[in-house]
Amino acid sequence: MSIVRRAQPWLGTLVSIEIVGEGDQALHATAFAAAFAAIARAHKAMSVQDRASDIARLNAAASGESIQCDPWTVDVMRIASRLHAATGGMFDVALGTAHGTAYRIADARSVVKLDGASRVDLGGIAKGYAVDRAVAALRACGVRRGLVNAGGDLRAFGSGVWPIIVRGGSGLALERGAIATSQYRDGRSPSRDDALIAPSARAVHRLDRTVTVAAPRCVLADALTKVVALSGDASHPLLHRAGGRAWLQ
Amino acid sequence: MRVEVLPIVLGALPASAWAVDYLSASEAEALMFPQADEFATANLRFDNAQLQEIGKRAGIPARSAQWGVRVARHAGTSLGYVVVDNVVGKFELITYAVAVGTDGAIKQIEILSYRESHGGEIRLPAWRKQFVGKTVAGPLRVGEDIANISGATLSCNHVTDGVRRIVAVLQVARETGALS
Repeated sequence: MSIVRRAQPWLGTLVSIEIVGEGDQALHATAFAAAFAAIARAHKAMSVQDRASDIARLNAAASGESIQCDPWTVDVMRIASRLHAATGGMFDVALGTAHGTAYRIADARSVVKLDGASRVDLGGIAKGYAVDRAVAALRACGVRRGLVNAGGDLRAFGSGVWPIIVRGGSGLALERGAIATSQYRDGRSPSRDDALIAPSARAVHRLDRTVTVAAPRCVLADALTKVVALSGDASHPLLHRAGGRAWLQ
Repeated sequence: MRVEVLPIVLGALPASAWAVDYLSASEAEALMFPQADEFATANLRFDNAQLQEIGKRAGIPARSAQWGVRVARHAGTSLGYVVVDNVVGKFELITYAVAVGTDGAIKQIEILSYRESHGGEIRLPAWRKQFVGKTVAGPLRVGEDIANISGATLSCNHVTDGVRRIVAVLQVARETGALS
């Protein structure tokens, strides 16, 4: 058994992909290309910084305007809307900028902006989604065992155990599924991606904790770290519904 | 689908080094220009005016007056360039390779290795008690057995800056005829 590793800068971080294989180099090359293409597609569609992205265009749009989006963006926004509703507004990709509802999903390819002043940032969920898409791309290429890690939001598939270090914490063994960790120190989040803003307070939450969530899908592991951090509840009901677990440090 | 997680015992953790190697420089250039039949090294040297021009275009200082560039060729014709560079962040040293076409467009970026000075912040605190279930036996070595950190908050801003600098270096080198 050998592990082949590759890494590229995407999503504002380092994305690494590992394939466990028997040495079929052509398959590895195709699979790496397909998986990084999926990561690149998610990056281009959902990056806040990239002015041509769906999210940048949505943020620049006026109230009532319909924005054509990559179906992946709409998919992520749909998941975000469900989490927003399920957490009573606590999980908020509009980061507290919307008065009421920030956007409405029109169809699989378009989103309507409802509050012209709102700004959406999918940083707290898009990395996990991109990881899931890259895993799907690897599997579609015939890879049986591997791991995709986007700056610490990661997912493994296939049989076997992956040792993972949780920063500042301990080691754990992951077998199938995803792990995401968000760290908050002295009220400053480590990156703007993980900014947590309570809609009620319209202010950055002052937290000093590290939250790790394991879940079958990385998009939920990623998003639920924010839910656990904000609620302080490592047994939040949404974890159970998502088939996940959480640890607080 | 279920997620399966168990705690593990870590042995022999290094105090200050975390390193993962992905590709060698020659593997990277072959990967990024698979059609090349030859790679030649061009050593570029810039004067002060050129360095200022590079800095102006990149938006950050040129950093060095000397740059080594690998020119990918097929049947004697240039296909593009590969530059290997290091960037030092607050906590990390990243070695990466950029492939740029003869049109000046970025073709591909590959990370060759990642080293982190603060990788040793790995303790075995009471936090572990939250795990239920048996323990997977160690010892495991970071970088060999373990290549993944969850909660690594590294940023690729330095890589992004470095890539912009390299694109400007290649532009100026081509305009001044130092590179063909």
